[in-house]
Amino acid sequence: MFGYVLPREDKLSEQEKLRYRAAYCGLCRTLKKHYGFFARFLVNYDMTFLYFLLQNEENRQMERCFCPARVICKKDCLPSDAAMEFAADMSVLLSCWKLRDAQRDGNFVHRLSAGAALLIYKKSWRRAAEKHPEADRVFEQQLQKLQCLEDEHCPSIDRTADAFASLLRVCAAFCQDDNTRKAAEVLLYHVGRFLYLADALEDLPKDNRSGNYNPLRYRFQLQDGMLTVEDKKQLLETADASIGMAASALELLPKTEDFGILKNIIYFGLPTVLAGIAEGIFRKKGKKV
Amino acid sequence: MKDPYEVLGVPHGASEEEIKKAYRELARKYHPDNYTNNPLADLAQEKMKEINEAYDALTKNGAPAGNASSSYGGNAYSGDANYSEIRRLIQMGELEQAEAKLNALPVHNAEWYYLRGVIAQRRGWMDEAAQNFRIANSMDPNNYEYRRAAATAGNGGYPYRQAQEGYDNTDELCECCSSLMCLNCLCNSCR
Repeated sequence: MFGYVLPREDKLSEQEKLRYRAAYCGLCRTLKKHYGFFARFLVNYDMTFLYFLLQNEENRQMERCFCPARVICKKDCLPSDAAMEFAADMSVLLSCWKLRDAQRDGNFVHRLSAGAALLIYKKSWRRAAEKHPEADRVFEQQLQKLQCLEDEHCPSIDRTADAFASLLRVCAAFCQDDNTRKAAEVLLYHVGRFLYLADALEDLPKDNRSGNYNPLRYRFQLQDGMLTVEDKKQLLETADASIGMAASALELLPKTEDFGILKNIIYFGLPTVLAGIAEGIFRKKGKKV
Repeated sequence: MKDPYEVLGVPHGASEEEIKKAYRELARKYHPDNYTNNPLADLAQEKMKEINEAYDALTKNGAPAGNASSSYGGNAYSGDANYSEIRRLIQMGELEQAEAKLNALPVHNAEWYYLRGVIAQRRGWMDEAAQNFRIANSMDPNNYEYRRAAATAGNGGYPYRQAQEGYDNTDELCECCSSLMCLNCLCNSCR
């Protein structure tokens, strides 16, 4: 995953900070429980967000659990409920499809390491796909669509982003209530769209060096790979529009126990990450959540 | 019907002032203007109805003047039969059909670009939406609908940055505290 879906820590309350970390640890523990030790490495912040988005149970108490990264002390974990398990399944599926992607079009080292990782996760992938055949099918279909659009050098960032955003939207299938699912679909679609655009912006210098496909080069007809001030403004605006759409959808979701964390991520986390990428300072200062 | 206090997010026995304040805040949040061309406009409308009913139940006077209850989907129609049919299709969510009809029209005027933008926005294709709204606005700068769409395309129509400011108040308080703390340190050092 991308690691862009982060909260802004200075705007989280102490209690929210604890619960956010406990969800991350809980996700890690759930991955281990269902998919074995190596699945712990698939834990990520993006799917922690998915967990908060989907969970609908009240009064989830924290538990103490063992953490292999800090052998001596135990850590607080949120319990492995249905939403947590779903987020773990999606972590496995998305990570495996991402590895498959890297195996196909990365450089030699990338391809080799992705191949090795896929060998390790082969069983986990099969198990997750058996649990969610529909999601697995949509992931494959959307990634293929994305590949086609990239191969034909599609000049519309909306259409390429749509392929990825529709992929993430499938995760809303967990919601039982029709209205909740509808709002969650719009939210996930626009978070996915945001991720795709932010990723394109961050990778632009790297793609210029390696000659890999980057949607921005075709959308703004870049000759030297540099965005003009006006191009950048338009790109940031359209990414911002997705944050606005995600916020409009968030307000229509039921106000669950950890709604404040979700609100922080959409209203503050995403804009901060976007601004960081635009200024070229994201992940450069050892930024930690 | 849901508990009106719960809907407005105020404690039972809240004063009329508190109820009014909560109502205003919610009405601003779910205002139809924030959900123009948004695929969730119908959900927001339902929510707004719920809020209005809760407010009516808690106050004798009913909703205060200027409340937003009925302007959802209220578009300025040009009168062209083709376009009103396309608008109807968009309203129903039949985007493919609306797009096909639109593409079949020979004349590309401001409304044509505007509707193309609306279809793009309903799909979540905000970049194409913004491009089309800009063209519509430049072709007919006096049309309020196009001007507004072009101006708000940058935030998806939802002013989330305004909502951010509500949060920042706490920060100002913090800053106030921390500057007092600094002042205190300075004072101590003088002694």
